[in-house]
Amino acid sequence: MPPSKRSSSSRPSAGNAQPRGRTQAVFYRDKRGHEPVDAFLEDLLRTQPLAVAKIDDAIEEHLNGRDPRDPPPEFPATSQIEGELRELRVRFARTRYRVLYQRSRNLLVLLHIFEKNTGTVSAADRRKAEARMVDFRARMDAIPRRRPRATGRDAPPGAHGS
Amino acid sequence: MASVLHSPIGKSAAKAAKARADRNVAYRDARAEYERIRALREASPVAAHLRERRFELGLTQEEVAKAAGTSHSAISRLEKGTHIPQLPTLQRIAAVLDEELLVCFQRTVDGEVEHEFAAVA
Repeated sequence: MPPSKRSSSSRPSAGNAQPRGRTQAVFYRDKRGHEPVDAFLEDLLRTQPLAVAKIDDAIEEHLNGRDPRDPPPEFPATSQIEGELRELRVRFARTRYRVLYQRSRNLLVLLHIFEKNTGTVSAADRRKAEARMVDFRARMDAIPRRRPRATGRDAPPGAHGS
Repeated sequence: MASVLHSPIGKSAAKAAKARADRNVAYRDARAEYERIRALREASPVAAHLRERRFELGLTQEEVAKAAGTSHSAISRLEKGTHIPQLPTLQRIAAVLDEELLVCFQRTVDGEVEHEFAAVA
């Protein structure tokens, strides 16, 4: 029987940097606010709604709600492309789709999607996904982080507005 | 004019899928069918595979039954996971679905599992 995707792991934590919660698939968004994978799916929805349903179902089944410490879903659901870049493999009738994604803590960032017509993922598709992930990381690092606001006894005098 | 800064984290795939289901009936029905197929896979992977394949090729159970030379009720029972037909019938059904039926022999040698696939014909 295949392992449950929601199985709780009793593995020891690898350190304080381990993400908490469950994995969540999100679309990569470029600087102009465009989400290329979602745009592809919306285009496809007009002509092939069943294929889009299959792709969304595969994302739900294989990428969402997993323990981030668990190994990636096994082949043939997903496979490694290069390094941390992976592909979600979806076949609908006679057409094959590939969603390239990469994990960032508990987020699975959907970087690129295409119809696969050849034996291997082309270098151009791979580079496109890699470039988007580089941009994702750079912009995430550029977002200033605020420390959580102190509350309760740690709050500075007057913080609760008297 | 100041440009709008967008977070690189777009919307969640689950939220986008829900929005699609809210406005596209064919999509919504297909999601429901895939959910049923997923549940069926736990009980009968063969039934789930055949039902999924027929659904995606846009064939009815009657069409598959007629082309495979079997009865509608046999296909219906097969897709419910309550009946597995004999290999020659299964082979004809697979052919209608544009697939080939293989059987897999599995053995364990020195603790290592080995598989060997063979065509039925």
